[in-house]
Amino acid sequence: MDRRRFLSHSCSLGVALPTLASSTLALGLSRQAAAQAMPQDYKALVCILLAGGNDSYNMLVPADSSAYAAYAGIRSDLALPISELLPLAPPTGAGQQLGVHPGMASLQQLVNNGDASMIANIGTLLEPFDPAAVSNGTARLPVGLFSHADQISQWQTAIPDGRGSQGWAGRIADRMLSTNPGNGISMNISLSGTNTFQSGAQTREYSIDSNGSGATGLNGYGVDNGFGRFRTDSVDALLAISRESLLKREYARRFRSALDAQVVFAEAMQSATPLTTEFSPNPLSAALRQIARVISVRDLLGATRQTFFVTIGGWDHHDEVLDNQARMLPIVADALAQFRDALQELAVWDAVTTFTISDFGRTLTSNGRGSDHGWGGHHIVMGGAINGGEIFGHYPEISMNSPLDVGRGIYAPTTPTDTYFADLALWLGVPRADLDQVLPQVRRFYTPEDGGAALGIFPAAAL
Amino acid sequence: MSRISAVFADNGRGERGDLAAVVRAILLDPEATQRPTGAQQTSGKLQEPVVRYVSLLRQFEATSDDGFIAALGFFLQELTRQHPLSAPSVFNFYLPSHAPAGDIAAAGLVAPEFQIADANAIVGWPNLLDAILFGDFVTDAPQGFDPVRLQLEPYFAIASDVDELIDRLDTVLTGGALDSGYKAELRTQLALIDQLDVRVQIAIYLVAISPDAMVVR
Repeated sequence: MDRRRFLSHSCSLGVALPTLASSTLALGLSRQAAAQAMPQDYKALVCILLAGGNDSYNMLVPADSSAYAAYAGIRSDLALPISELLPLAPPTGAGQQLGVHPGMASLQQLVNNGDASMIANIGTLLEPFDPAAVSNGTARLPVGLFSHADQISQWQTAIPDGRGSQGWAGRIADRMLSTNPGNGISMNISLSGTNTFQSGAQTREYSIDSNGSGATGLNGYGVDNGFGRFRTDSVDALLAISRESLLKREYARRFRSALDAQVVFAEAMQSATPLTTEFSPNPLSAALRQIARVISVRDLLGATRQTFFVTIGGWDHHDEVLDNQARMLPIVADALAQFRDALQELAVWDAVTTFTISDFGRTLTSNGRGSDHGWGGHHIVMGGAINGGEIFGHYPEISMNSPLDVGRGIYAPTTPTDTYFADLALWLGVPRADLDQVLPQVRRFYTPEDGGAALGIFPAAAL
Repeated sequence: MSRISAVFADNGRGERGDLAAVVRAILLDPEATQRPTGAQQTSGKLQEPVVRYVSLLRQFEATSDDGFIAALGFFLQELTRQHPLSAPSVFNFYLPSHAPAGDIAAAGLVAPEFQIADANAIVGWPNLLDAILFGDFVTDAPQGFDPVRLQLEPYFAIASDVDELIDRLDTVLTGGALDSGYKAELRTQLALIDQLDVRVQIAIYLVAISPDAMVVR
């Protein structure tokens, strides 16, 4: 072996070459997977985290004149002009006229078309909000309200009275381990790295990125030549040496499983359906495009249930909230519409439910430049299986004397996150009897064995 | 804490508050100087990528014709999820409370640095080493700066003796922590490489990806 020979087979930076060895291995696995009777039903949840706390009272806004006046009064320099709001078709229930942010024409179209719905004033709760209990100090409140670290975590753990490292999708995957194909590809796939939402007691996410196959291979590993075989043998042998240190074991285990999973994943992704749907050139659209591509090879991966996680950050707009949202909200709305088109193109529109989470809503009052950490906020849920065109929960009456206003126009949520998550978990296939294990505190707001939906996102028959 | 506070109370000559003695006691404490043993070692931390990268450049005396060690660092970010001063949020790259699912969380422990060691990033480090060692791509220097190179000549000079090479790399890359089984396997593998400069490059690669180099005490 000499240097030139090595260099000629060492691939350039960041480019993973498909290799003979990996092809052989993965094709074997794929055939095996294809030979198993593939359950026809497939379902996936796609969680979009708007990290930092989206000022969602400017995403979903009162659009009839009296309610708008109250909104504009409290928001002062942060109020959007009423003439620019994009009205939603009157929802079937509440009868309020609401509009979405002027940059979210795609969202308006999704909702009015019945492809998406909104959830109004939802947030972390331990009990229904009671202003009197807050006043006299008897209210039980989430740990670390208004704190990014706590609230962004609690939306993922569904445990608002503690600090945990396991998320509700992780707990779902723990329960579904036995139905996973065991090929090293977790049913929880992340486009944004390790996260709480998808971590369980046994479950770890499988992290991919938006480029190429999404899975990075070890350069030169598995290459069928002198140095490739040397590298493969030496890395394999060195990783196989057992370790006493917990941390060294964890590192070696991750390295090993990353090598193995990449072979299977990259091979499957070579069969990804070429999409005619065009996606915008931004990270969120690119991530949703990659998710659609992964879904298109679900049978090769042997997946019948999956969750996907993607973060779009930068929503902590203490400054310049209007300009920043004008730039960022259209990215979200357009990416959702593109994702819908791709899912319809792949004929999995009914099988995939996409939803947003965020740390919290923000103060309705202005700090002079932006808004500060709040509590309740509004969210988006999208998919062919949902009751579309709805506003779930209750959009609060905005007024200076609102009993929900806990100060500075921070609105206490009237819909607990548990009911949102309960509908999503039941729809994905968590048995009602097991819902407590996924959402340990759901009974504060919902009794699974009573039947029906918790929030109504899906028709009851779908749960 | 009790060992150090005892030195604060009495530096051995009856003096209280001798800070030089306190610093000496911290640096020379058994916890700092001795390797942990036992079946369930839980000490140490995964070294974060930027520190790992800079340590490597310093260890092998990175240099360039113009004397600058210029780097934009974007390829570091691409491969390892870390770039100086580019944390994704005000909470930096990982949270102090991060407990990886599995044995570590089950033991009630945290290992924050693992939060950015996902499936792609964990392979990113060896691929970064690949570029540095075999691709002569040490930093992504901006235009106008000379390329950076490592100075491996002192290692070429000892590479004919595989044991000496391994021992030297063990000292400089793991602080003498390289597992004996790993060393034995490494010896077998490196003996297969005849060309000494390639042997050195491969040896650095294989030691630098070892759990003993990745996890620092």
